[in-house]
Amino acid sequence: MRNMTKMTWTLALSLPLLAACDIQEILEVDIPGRVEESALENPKLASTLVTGVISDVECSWNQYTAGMAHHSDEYIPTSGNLDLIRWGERRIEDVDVQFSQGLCGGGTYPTYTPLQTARFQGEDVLSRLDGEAFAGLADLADLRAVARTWGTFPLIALGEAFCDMTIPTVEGEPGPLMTKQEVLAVAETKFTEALGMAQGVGNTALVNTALVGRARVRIGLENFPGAMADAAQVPAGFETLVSRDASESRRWNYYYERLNALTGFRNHGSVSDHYRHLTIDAEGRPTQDDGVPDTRVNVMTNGEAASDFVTQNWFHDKYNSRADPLPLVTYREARMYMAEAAARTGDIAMATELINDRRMAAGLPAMTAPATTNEMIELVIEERRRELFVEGAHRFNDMIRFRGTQFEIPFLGEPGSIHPNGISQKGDVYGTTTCLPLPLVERNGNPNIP
Amino acid sequence: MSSGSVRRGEEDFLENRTFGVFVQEQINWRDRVYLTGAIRGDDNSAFGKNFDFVVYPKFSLSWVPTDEDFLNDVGWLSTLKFRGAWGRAGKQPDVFDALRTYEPVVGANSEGVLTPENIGNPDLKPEVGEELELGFDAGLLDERVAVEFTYYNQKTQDAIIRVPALPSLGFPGVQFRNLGEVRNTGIEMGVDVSAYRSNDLGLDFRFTLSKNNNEIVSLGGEPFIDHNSRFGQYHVAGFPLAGVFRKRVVSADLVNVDGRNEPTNVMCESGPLVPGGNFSEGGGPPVPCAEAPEVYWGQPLPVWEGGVSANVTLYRNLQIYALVDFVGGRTFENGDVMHAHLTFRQTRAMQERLDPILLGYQSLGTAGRRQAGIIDGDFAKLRTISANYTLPQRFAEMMRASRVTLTVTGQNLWTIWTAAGDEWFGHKLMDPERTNQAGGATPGLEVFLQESWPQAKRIISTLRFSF
Repeated sequence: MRNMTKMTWTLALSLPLLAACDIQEILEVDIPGRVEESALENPKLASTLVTGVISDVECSWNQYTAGMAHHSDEYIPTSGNLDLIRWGERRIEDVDVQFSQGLCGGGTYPTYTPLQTARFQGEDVLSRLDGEAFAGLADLADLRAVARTWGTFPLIALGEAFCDMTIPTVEGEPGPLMTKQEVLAVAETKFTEALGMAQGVGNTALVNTALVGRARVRIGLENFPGAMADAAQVPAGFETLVSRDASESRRWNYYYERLNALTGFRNHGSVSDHYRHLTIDAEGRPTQDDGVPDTRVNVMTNGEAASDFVTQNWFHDKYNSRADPLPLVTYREARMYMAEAAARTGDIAMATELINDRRMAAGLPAMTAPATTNEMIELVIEERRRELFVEGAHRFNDMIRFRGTQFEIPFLGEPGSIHPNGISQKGDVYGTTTCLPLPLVERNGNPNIP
Repeated sequence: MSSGSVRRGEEDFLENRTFGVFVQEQINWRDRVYLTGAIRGDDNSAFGKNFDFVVYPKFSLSWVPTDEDFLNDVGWLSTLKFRGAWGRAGKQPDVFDALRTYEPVVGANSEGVLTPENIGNPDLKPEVGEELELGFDAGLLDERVAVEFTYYNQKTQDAIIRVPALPSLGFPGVQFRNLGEVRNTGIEMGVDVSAYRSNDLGLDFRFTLSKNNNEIVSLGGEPFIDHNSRFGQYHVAGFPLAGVFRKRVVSADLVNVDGRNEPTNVMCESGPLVPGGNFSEGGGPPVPCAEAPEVYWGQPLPVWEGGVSANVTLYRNLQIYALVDFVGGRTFENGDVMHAHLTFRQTRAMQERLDPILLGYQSLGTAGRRQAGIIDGDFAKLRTISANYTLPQRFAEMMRASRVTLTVTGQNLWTIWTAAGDEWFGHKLMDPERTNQAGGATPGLEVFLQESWPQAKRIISTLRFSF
């Protein structure tokens, strides 16, 4: 027994020696079912990584813009679904898991995490491309330009839509609480970088994409000359689309899937009353039921009820399948930035001309110039809601950025809206959401947010 | 057929490796004192890359005093054994918890692309539990009474806690982190009594009882950690894991506005605040709800669990068995009731609008909606009752069997008691034990239940032939 004890303690004392051995090799495991971060440092994957940035931006932009159409005054609430009704009735909460932590392809409109993931992807992939593993790649400069341009678009949404925001100053570390203007200023800087990269490789489409993106940001920052200068460079007919297909839910067009599909009780919103029968009158003023039909907002009904089985469903013709693409940036949008920049700097003549260009392109009567700058701004806002109907969260952005000004656009349920008493057409009480709340999961987990 | 079906193929491969060394020595003194000492060292492929080897020691001691001379004359004490143990043990993370991974998904033109999947944690290490266990096993009155008792005090350091990944860092889902210290103290006891035994009658009872107090001792300097804020669940130092914190309305006045009762002067419970957060044990005077903290409502894990069973044997061929078990100290959120009251508002209570507390919660909006479904989940059930009859031997022989038994068992037939009663703000309640598990088990740390199945009531008849 004494001998055994001696042997045991010898073994015990040898443990620290064993611990000092290099046993990492023994513990190496294969994980074919997962892609580890280290596997990304492979030049053969460069194109895949950049396509991944586009894919995540497409997914987040699709879900964000469709969700904001539902939340804005473009739709009245017609959902019979517990979660989707909250988007129509302005009850988006900071604790809502689908809104804050839902993934691409998830239920309702997963917004916050997909946008942050897409933003991170842009930064992360660009940083990898700058590393040693990718040095010397023939198309490196092109890929960097694509990653920077596409990867900046989520910042537009994070800056425009949320009441408060945070983005990391250093990737991998929680960032500070930021205002809209601070986020948009970061976006402006990154679009400027993107422009330089895209111009450097002669990628005209990418240059124009970045120009429209920066023009939008500059409008948000009220840098009207800057926005005008950017938007004016965009050639007629230019557009960059968010591709969609019917393969998997992360690839579906959510405007169609949640709002416009006529089968399967998927009409969770019906196009609002004040988007139906839009017309232009004899003097070229925007009207409803009084003049030439405004073909830019082609809204119709088949007389059937939406998913709540009560409200008559009104739909449009922009998205008719899961595979229909949606706009990321367009020439039309750029022209509207120019019109707004002109109007807000008092150039009524130029604003009128720009609007009439769009009217002519749509086959609509031209308008005469209004007498005052304020009337002009109101006309630009009205033209934007028609020209950019159910696209790019533009209407929602206008409702947020003009809030508290004389041009305020009421949300549904607020005085001045089509449901001014706070009650929907079904008798439901509207909530109070306007800008999107910074999710509680971010507030709770980010030590820099008080 | 292919147009009406969805075909999916999935495959996964998990590999985990442990490098371990284990040494143990046992010493026996006069067959009545046993001492064991052991030491174990582990490294594991699931540890974070910044963490290495871990060493766990353990010791145990037991003593059988009934083998000592001084207890020879104590006739009622048949056997007695004291036992004690102290040791450390580790729990390694799950296979992929430490790794930062990317998920292959479909991109444009059906191209495969990669998207962030799991943020990982390079510093993730095993959680280390240190436990002191003291207890005894005793046989009394010629082993007609057997008693087991154990007290334990377990301290888990570097507890692996699942927290939501911070979305602004770009990864979805959750992250596993070693956070602070969690203490579990409690007792487990069991008593078996063979109350009566003769040729024609046997009567046996068994009592079991366990109590576990779970408390977060520290969170490594963090004032609280979000477990699932949607359901008000937070890890807060000084409280159990994943405790439920919500404002609690204590009073409200009703005023009639256009023929409809509206709450006014809504007051909530206050209490001393936990440093660094708006959480409180409660117990303070009423304050306007806007100023009130989130007070503690309870925890999803039960504090008490136990059971009583009886087994009666008649004439050696009929056995009747019954088991009653109970769960105490558990809270859950009933999503069906909550949504009925304050989301769809189609309950009688919401139509009549007479309950100031319920309307007070409604007036809080988001901050008050879920309280209409937070319910005390304690219950006691007749879990099993059964009769087992061995048919006379001549019947067995007629069927050329050596033995034939008939058993009729009823399960979950009667909920004897629920702490919440039958209704909650006037809404009928279902079985509080609505999980996929049986036998008083709980659904882990998740407090929310909705559209889940109650425990099935079953009657099972079995005719068994032995040849």
